[in-house]
Amino acid sequence: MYKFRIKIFLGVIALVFLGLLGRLLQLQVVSGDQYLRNLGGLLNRGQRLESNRGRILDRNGKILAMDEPCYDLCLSYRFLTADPRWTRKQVASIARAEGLSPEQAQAVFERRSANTWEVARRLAEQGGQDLDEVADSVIERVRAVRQDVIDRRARLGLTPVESVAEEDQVHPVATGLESPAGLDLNDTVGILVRPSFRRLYPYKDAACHIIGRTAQVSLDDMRSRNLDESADAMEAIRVNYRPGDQIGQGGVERMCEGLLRGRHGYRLERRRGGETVEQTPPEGGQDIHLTLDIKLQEELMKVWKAQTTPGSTGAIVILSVPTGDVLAMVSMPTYDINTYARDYKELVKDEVYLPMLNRAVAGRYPPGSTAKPVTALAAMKTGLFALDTQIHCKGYLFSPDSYRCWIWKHHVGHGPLDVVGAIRYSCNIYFYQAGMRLGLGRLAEWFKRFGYGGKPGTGLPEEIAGYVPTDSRYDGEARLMAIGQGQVTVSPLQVANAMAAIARGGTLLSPVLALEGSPARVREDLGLSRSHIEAIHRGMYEVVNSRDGTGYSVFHEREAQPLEVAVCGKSGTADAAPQRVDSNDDRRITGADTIVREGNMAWFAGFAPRGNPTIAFAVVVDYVDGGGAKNAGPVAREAIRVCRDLGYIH
Amino acid sequence: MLLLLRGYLRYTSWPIILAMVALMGVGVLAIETSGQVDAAQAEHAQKQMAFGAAALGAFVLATLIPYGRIGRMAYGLFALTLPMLLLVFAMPARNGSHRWIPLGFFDVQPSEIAKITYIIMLAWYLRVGDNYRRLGGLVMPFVLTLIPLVLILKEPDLGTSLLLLPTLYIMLFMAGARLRHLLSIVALATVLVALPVPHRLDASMPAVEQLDRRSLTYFTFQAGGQEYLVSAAPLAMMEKHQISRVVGWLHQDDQRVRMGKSYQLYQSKITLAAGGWVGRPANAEPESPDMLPLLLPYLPEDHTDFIFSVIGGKWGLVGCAGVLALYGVIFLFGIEIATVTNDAFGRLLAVGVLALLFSQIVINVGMAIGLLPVTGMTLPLVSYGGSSLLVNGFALGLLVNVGQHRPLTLGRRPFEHGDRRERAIAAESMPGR
Repeated sequence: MYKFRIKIFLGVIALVFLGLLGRLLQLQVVSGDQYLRNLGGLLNRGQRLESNRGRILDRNGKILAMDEPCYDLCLSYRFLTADPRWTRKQVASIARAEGLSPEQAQAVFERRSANTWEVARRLAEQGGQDLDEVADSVIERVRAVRQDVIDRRARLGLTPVESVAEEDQVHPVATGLESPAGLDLNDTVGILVRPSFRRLYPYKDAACHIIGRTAQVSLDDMRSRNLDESADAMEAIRVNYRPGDQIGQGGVERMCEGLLRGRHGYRLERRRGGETVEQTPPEGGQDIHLTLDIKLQEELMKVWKAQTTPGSTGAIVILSVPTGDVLAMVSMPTYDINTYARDYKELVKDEVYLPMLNRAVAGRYPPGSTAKPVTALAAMKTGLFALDTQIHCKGYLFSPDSYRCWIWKHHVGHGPLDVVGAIRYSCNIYFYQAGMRLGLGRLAEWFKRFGYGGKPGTGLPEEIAGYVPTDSRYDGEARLMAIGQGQVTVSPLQVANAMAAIARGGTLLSPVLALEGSPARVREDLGLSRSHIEAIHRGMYEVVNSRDGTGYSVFHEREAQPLEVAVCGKSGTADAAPQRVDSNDDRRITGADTIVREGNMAWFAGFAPRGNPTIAFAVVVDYVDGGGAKNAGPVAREAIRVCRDLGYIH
Repeated sequence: MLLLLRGYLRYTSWPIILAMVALMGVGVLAIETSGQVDAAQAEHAQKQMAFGAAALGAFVLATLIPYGRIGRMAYGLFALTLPMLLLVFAMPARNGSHRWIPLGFFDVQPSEIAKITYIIMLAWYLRVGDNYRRLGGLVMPFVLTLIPLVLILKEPDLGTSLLLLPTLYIMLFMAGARLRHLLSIVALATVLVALPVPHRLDASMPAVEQLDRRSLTYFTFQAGGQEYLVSAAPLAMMEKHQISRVVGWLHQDDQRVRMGKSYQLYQSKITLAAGGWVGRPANAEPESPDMLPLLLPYLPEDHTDFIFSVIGGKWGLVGCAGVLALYGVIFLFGIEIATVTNDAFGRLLAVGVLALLFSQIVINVGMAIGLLPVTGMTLPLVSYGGSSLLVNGFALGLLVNVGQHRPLTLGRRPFEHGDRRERAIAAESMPGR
């Protein structure tokens, strides 16, 4: 029995061993290739070949932004963090290469390390940056990337990683160097000077808000835009952002980031030996053509400086009526994009004049009387008012204490007015009545049809929708909104676009800023009657050209040269809440905070010429003392002159 | 003296010694390979050589004392092992388990010692009588097994503790326990293990763990706002990392768990695949770089539990088959010893050593090639580690020791021809004649 059983034992051993061998045969030979297929990443290393960013051009092909070849000084992350293992390896390789003892090699390493810091510090300072700050931000970003990878792997139940790729890479600490010549890197360690590109903006501060700028990519952008490397490593090399990469921040640079950036190339090389296995060249970014005329933009900036008191802030928007092209969009004050990185701290500190705010698309203004043509069209379209409806202005609506017309300061009224007269005189009573009869709901609907309360659609990331109240606890809201006061807020671009819609005879077009990368255009016919439009055109023409129009004196000043353009315009003097800064540091703006600026928002908006309009414009000057025509009118007048001189008005 | 040595050498089973030394040599080479890519393991090959020399010493020591005398100390040795198994709990934990007693120059692993004293004790216990041929008589061997098993399980060292069960079974089987008893115990144990046990799902667990636990249940139900899982008894008791190993093993070919739960196993398979037939992948271009140094940094425990994968990666299928063949030599000649020995204790001791060796090989290799879940288990004589090497050397010494005391009249008696031969041998070797 024992001998029989021992044979069974031997048989079991033999069978089990055969089973193991069978499985080994399957693993190692039969399906071995299948396991080795994905080993490319282990054998090869991908290197990125930088692509250059596309240019931004104006409507005449003038270059607004371009990449210029330069050099970046990069330091190894391990060097920046003084990684002990990396240091040991460096010391060992110095010892091997120069045949030194470990102590001597350590001394050499320390000397080189000190020299590296010195070289990097000097070059960073030339670029106006503090090396310590740059180094800290590199370290912080790499650590955050590392933490992201760790968190993601933990969420997926994967084993933690030893290190992430960024920890073994070099990172730029001094960028935009003219030339590497004359740079002595013999006595350095962990340093690399590599060709790169820097962004150049030939027109400096003109259109700075529209062009935007580039900056080092933020963590949030990396998180939301980067592909998962494990899915397609090569594609990830081509499109992913690495810490230190530039990305569009604001303006067209941001809006067209995907087109401008292009795709990096890559070179796949053997980890051992380094020979090239595969290479794909970079695809440069696409050029972006803007509808903007940079010459017009520059001229308008000069106009602003000549026609406003020094330090005035505000915006000018010029749109092409037939196409909806944004021809110019000035926001004052401006800054030089080329030195933005250096000036950033100064710019961000200015809480009063807010130089970084693109007022043309992101300023929140009450439209004031520039909204009156819209109210009039709404009242006539809905049939509440006819062309010949007369409203009697006695200087106030109910009692002299509230809802006054602006003429009441002379303690008189306008008397009976039809729509043309109401526009010409900008009579509040007419429009109070119109607003009251329309009610907030219908009025808000018509405001929205003219583009208020919705993003205009240039695609600029800064663009705001403004606010059109549709419901209010306050009974008089409709009355106030009818004259462009109360809760309603708009941007200058919206005002110019509404004017363009009126100039077209009631067709709303979304404004176009870039020929590439803009959102789809929207064209909407508002179905307005021709006679109503004619009346509004006439009223706005009389504002400028009738002796008792609100804008007449500005456009016909004795010293001003005649314009010889049939301008239709509308002035606006909007009451605005004073601007306060958070002076008591409670992170809220309340009545307790200091007032830094106060006054009216001065508007002048319209289109020209009357018969066959080619341009629509809106001008706003912030916090002025006095009326819209007086403060914004001269800017508009000279802006129209510039447009005429540049051929935009025939 | 000289005569004594001549006798010692003549009756020693040389093939077993040669196979043992060859396996140790393969182990050192494989450890050296894994040390080349990791500076922290650079001296391991050197140390393993020293351990190997010590293991040979243990081997010789085990052959010098007649095994019968060791048998008489069986219970004493076993009794000495138990306090050591308790003592580990007083020692600081490493990687969350109490397995070692540090002696300064060397860390003793009592569970390794327990393996050998357990076999000696069991062989000594089973050598007389035949009460284990009754069901009731099986109680005592099982109790004697459960004592070290539970202690080692508590360390925790699942691999080593589970090792004792197949060893017990093979020894009982060889001692003549009835097959139907053994099979009914297995059946009963299977039923008990598979018994559905409801247990509450801790909602504060990480989501991944909850998912894993859910995937291993029979069914779930809600009661009193709590979710209850109904799963097999051991699964209900398992720790998080054990659960994730089981899931990783069950879904080892699933792309999603490869880089996570079955990371070790996947790396082990890649390393094996890199070996191909003789140490190169099947489709290798002539100049393709040697992949092993690139792969090994990603293979955890490459010098201990996954040494077999390193061997497979370095020498391919041929290398793996060679290692198994060397073990085959030990089994073949070990079974020869177990067959010709007439002494009951000697037979069981030889069988026990072989059973222990066999179980370790199957568990270790099975885990490296994905046939069994990953548990910590060394490949005997090959894996890096002093305790394991010493104990296995000593165990093989005992095996050879048994062989040295084989009955002198093994061969055919002169001039006895034909069918009487068997009878004559039987008559000659009958104990107590």
